[in-house]
Amino acid sequence: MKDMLWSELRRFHRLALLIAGMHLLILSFLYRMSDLLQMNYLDCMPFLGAYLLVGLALAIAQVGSYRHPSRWLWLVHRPLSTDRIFLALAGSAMMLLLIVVVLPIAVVVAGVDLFTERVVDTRHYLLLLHVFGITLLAWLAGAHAVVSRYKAAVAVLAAPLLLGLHLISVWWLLLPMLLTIAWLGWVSMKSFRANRGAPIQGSITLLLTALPLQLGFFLLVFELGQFLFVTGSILAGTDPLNTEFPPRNGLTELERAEPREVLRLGLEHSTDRRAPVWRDELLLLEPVRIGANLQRFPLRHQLSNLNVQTQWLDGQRNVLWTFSHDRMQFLGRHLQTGAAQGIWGAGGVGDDRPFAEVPVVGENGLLMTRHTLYVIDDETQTQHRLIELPQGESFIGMPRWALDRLLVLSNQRLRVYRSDRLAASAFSPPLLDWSVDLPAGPDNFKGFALAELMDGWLLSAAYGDGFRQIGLTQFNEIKMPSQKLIFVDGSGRATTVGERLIFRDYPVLYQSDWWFSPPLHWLVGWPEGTLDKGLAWPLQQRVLAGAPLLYPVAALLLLLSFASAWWWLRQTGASLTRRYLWLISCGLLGVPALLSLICLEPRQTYRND
Amino acid sequence: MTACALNAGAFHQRVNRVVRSALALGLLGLISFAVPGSAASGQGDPDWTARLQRAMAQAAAQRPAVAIDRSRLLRRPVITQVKLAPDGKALAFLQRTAQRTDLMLELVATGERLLLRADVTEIDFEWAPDSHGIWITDGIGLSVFDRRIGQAKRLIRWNSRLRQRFLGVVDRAPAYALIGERVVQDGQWRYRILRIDVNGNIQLLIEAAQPVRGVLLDGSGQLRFSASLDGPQYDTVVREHLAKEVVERLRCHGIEQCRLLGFDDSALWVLSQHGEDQLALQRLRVGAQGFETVHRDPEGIADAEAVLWQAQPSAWRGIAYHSDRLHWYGADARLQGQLTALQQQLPQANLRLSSSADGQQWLVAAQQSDTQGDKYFLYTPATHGLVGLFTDVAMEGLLPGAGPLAAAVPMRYRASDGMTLHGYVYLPPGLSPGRVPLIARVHGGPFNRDRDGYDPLLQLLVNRGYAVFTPNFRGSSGFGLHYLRSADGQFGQGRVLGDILDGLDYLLRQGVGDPQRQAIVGHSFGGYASLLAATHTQGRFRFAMASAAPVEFGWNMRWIADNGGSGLPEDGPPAEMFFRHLGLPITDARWRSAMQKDSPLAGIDQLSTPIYLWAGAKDDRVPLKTIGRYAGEVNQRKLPITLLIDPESGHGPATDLQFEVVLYLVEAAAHQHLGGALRPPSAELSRLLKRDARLDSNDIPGIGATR
Repeated sequence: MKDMLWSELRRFHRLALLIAGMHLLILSFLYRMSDLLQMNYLDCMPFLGAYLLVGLALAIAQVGSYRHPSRWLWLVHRPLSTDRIFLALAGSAMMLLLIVVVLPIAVVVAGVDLFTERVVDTRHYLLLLHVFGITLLAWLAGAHAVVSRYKAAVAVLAAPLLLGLHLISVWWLLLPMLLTIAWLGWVSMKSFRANRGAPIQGSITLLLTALPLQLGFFLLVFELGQFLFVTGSILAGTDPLNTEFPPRNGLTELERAEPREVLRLGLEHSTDRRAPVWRDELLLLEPVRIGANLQRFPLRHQLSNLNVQTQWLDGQRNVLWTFSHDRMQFLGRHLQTGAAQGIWGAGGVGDDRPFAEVPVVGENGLLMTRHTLYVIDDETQTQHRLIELPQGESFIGMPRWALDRLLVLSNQRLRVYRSDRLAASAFSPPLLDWSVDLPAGPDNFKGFALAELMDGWLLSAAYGDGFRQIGLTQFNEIKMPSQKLIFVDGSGRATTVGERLIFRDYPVLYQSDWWFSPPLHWLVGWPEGTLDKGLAWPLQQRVLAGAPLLYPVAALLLLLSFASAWWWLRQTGASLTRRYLWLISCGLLGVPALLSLICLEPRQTYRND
Repeated sequence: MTACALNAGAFHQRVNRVVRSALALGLLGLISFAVPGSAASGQGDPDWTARLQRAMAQAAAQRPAVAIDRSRLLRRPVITQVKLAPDGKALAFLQRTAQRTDLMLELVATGERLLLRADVTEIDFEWAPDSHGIWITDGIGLSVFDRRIGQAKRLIRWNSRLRQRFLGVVDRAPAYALIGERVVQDGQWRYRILRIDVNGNIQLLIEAAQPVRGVLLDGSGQLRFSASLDGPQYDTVVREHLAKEVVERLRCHGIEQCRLLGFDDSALWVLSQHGEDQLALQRLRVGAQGFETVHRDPEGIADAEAVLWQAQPSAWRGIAYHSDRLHWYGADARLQGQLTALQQQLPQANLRLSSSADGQQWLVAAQQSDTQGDKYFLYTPATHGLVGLFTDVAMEGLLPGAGPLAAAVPMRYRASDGMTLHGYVYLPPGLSPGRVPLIARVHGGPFNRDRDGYDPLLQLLVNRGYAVFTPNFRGSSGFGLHYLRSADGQFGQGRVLGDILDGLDYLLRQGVGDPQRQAIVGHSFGGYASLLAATHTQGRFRFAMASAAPVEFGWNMRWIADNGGSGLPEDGPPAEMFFRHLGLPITDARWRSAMQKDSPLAGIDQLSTPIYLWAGAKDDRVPLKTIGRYAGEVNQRKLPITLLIDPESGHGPATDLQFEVVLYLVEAAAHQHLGGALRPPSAELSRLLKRDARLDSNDIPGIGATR
């Protein structure tokens, strides 16, 4: 085994060293262009993709070279068990990945830590482990796919990534990462067997192999279906996002509309006697919008930065303040000299008290955590608390100054503050002018459009359909979008003056994957709802979908899957227990389970037998 | 008190810092009208009636004016802010070119001109008392130009958070200038005045819990006198700062003015309303117990508006009151003779005077309602010699006096309750006064006043063939405390509206204006008054035009009190007290209710007059939402209305072109309803009109209908 490990290393060592050198050069170059360690996760995605490809490429090059039947026989017919052969290959791959991927990153991180005053935290060192884990997962998935009957088996990678890759604390992330490596390692190891076409032996191994495959199929097939639907819609000229004018009374129309138009659309369905005058007034006013655009707050020791600012530049003093997760304070660095400029704690410069949470840096000197809004006083280099939300409330949007007010959106209400005009300090807490509850809670809430009338305020509260085009939805309950119009009078009393349902624009089958496999839909959302991801409002796990139309479709698919599985298994020599296992699986999980059955239970083999 | 709520001053402020101006009570304004001939209102003083008749005859005898282009009426003078060096040997001034404005210096003896600073903005400057330097302040900070080395040095960068600002120089201590600022201590404002020397060294002179209005320093730069707000009523208190104690010398209660002028070995001089109705020159002699009035308006009408002060020795040389025009009075017979001689040489002009330190030379800025831009002269009082300045460039491109522009005709008339009121009327030349349409142009504030200065809007209307009446209704400033307070909060269908209508009735009776063709226009409070008049005098006015106008006065005052902004003085008493001092009980529910009941907004159902509105989207005195509400309500009732909203302007048009939009709106409205000429808009103006038009059921030419 040792000889095999070294021989595998020797096969690739020159190439590995070459790629490692190039990797180091690229990282060094990029380091000069930006602060690599403070990049947000979106900017990190290309790196993640590249490392996944490296893992996959190594698996294809290394294990794929034995894929030919004669080479495979030569490989597995050694005086070693197939498990040890796999471990030898995996061990050499791990060493190669360490050299190619991890070592250059480690050199850069250590170099930045030792020779500069930039912020390097423990999370950055632990990130090395996670990067290694991710590339290893890719290698394992690649190795599994290469030796499987169908290359589609690479879909197993989806499940570990889904379950093991989250923007949470690097410490907490170790657990899912190690579990998924062990899981995929086991699956890949067991796929190393003399007869690669034979069914997987052992129910546990079969389950462990089938489940990630089913999750992978669940995601990939649905995504592929969505892609085809969107592409077809665009070709047909009916896609709501790609037509010159969105459909009337639809969600796209509402989302694209300027705040004035949003209010006007709401007034069209208002029967309030004042609505006609408000419509005319709107033409003359400049309404504004505040959206629920702050979906999550940064966490301590987070794997990567969120797409929010956690550093700011004091242009007057040329000092860049970057937040350190280890110290829970900002650390200053002079941009010209690179010298350390001390700490910025909970009270400002030189204050050693750490922040309780990782703050987000907003515009106009605002600084906020989940419950507290601060403002930075550049001159005195202190910070002042402007707003402390009551227990149970947290921000779901960046506060903004508009209409001579500070608009603050929490998960319970819109709060509208005015400056304390009589206060001596320019940083005194603003005074609450009025507030209005979110009409139907925070789920699916999109935001308010508001206009200041002479005798009060006119607000539109918009609710979406729970669907996000890009990325996983924050709400797993599909609903009909809606709009509510609220009038807040001079004394702050709110009354509803109009409401309407809005068309979804997209068919519900396109928007939700619940119907494709309700249990897998739940499983995919499970980490989102379970892990502390700093979400502005935690995901509510619901078993049933909000759209009744989905129920018969889901039931039909489950039935079809069950019937197809029964038909497929008739031609196989699977044991009765194994058949029951598959039938239950297909009856519960639907089409993805059926696809995994087709991959894992070959009919031809048994027919030959 | 300085800045105030609904002032039309943003249109064309003319600040003359050369003279020590007495009063700047710019506040809200409202206007209203009575039904023609409804009462025995509008009686006139026989002398003044005769003066009016003479003016009417003269106007009718003139040649009709050719139509002047709007943009020409808006041209700005090339030379502004001329200041005489204390030694009388040089002048500093701003010179505008096509693209920029420069700070220049001219040597009086040779006429040689030097560029001190190019391309300046937001600049103010003052000569150092020794004439060796010029203190220059701009939006960035304070600098001093040293004439001996020909170089300027920036001394301080303004800290906007402390609201630092330049307050002026110290006559007796040439090395110093004064700076004001506001700091926070223990969560409370503290107001400071500091002195700064030419090396940038700063020393605190006085700090107080309430704003400090002014200080006087002795020759060594030590504080001698201060004027500060004081006590719960925000009285203005003059104190003497002695070596071991500070002694209160004068207390002006509430709204009464107290302004430090200067002192010498024998007395302290102030402009004050203490014990007086009008602002007067007062003196506290050394050893005396109280102040004595040295000079008040001999006519008993107007506040003191300017003082001619001489630095060496410190003494007043003349004082001016603006009743019908600016009248100067000398400190003694010799000076009176010198002033009279000067006024005889410039008989039509209002004169702004400043003196060299020794009083041997006076700088004269002459203003006339029928002349664009000021004319400048150097006057040698001893010889009565008057020499024109900047004759090569000062009037470049401007409309001269005795030309196509109309002169203001002052008028006095009695309101229906017997009170004597003041105002002006402008008569179109070459037309029979009784056949021309009559337009009331109401000033803003209302605590402000109309003067007989150059005003492009008035001149435009007169040039188009309309007679224009500008009333100084009760509540207007500049005519003493009684006049100011006598509105008694009646800014609805009360006395103020009555005063405006009485003035119109008086003019109609005198044969000015066609009773069937009347209109009313105004900015800010004047706009409110116009809407009020249109609401409550059905059928009297052919149209009403209101720019930046409140639609409910009481609500708007409350809004200003709640929201601050430029509608309130920066360092003054709390808003409620400030307005109460001026006779606006904004916390009184009965008053608010009365204002609401009378408001244009509440009276839309009575409205039949076509309305023309202009608003600035950034207005922090009259929120756009109120105008939007009013326009929406009017439009809902299918009444004719035009509304332009300028997205870049605040309470007044931000640029000349945006001002021309307002002029065009008035001109077009008058053209549509009174039949005067309308010059088509330029392409640039047309683009702006189309951009700003939000409602136009009046179908104004050049806008394009929007409904």
